[in-house]
Amino acid sequence: MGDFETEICQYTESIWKSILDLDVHKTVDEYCPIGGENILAGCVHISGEWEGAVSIDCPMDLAKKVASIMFNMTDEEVTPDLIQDALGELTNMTGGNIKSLLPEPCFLSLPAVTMTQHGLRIPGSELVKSVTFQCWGYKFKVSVLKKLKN
Amino acid sequence: MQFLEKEIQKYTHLVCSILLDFEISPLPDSYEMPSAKMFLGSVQITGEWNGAIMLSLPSTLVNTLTEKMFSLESGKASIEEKKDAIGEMVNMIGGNIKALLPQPCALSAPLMALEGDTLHFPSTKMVTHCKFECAGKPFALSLYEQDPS
Repeated sequence: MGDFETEICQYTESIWKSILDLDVHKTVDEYCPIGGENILAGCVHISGEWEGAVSIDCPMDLAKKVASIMFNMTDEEVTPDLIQDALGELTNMTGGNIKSLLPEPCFLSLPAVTMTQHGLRIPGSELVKSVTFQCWGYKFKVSVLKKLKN
Repeated sequence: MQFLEKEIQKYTHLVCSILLDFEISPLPDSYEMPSAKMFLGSVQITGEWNGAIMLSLPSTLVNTLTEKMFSLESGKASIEEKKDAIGEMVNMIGGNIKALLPQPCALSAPLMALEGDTLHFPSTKMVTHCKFECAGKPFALSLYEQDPS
């Protein structure tokens, strides 16, 4: 099992294309939200033979556009609940694909979505790999975290 | 009576009294939680039963609990220590609640959201919401279950 970079790229590009018909590409510039920016972060936990989490951090404006495409609505029609549902669904699909690479049995949690200015916080976990992607003028990142051994 | 309400009250009391030597008491359903920004900690349960447990505490209580857990002087708790303290609390409560649910179930690592952040669990519904008082400050524990619809 490597650092998941190839798989993160492959699954993210494929999911965003098939679900949203959006072309996203890995970029070397890391997504580092500026202070005060609202970020929407989705997370699914993986439990079992391998324990950790898969998360997607993206700017609120991009999450809103994603929801408007997913639910075929205008930006004005999209509610906060739908924005969270959309990011939760993308996170769930990405996590499900990553889980398929891991030793069985593993279980995928329901997604959790947080609106934050600080990024996701999962105590007791270490970052395995984070890949930043570009979509329109926005950046977002997909990360795999592994639970630290006690 | 809400789903597992008595058990949630029992285990929350147990964790607070054993881990932190703090007595807590349940608050009535009618109690209105303060509108102040809350510190949120959650763990998710996956398997035969799917859902999440979320602890919601005001920052003043987070400081008090963290200082007690790590034997710190007043005002000395770092953000990392606060995350660890609340993560440990919700992990212990979650572990006890998980044991009451259909097996097999797995408990996730804790996920934290700081004051002003929000935390949502799409495709779930809140099935239990218990309010407590600890050291003169209110806090709440909620149980979310996957919504089959």
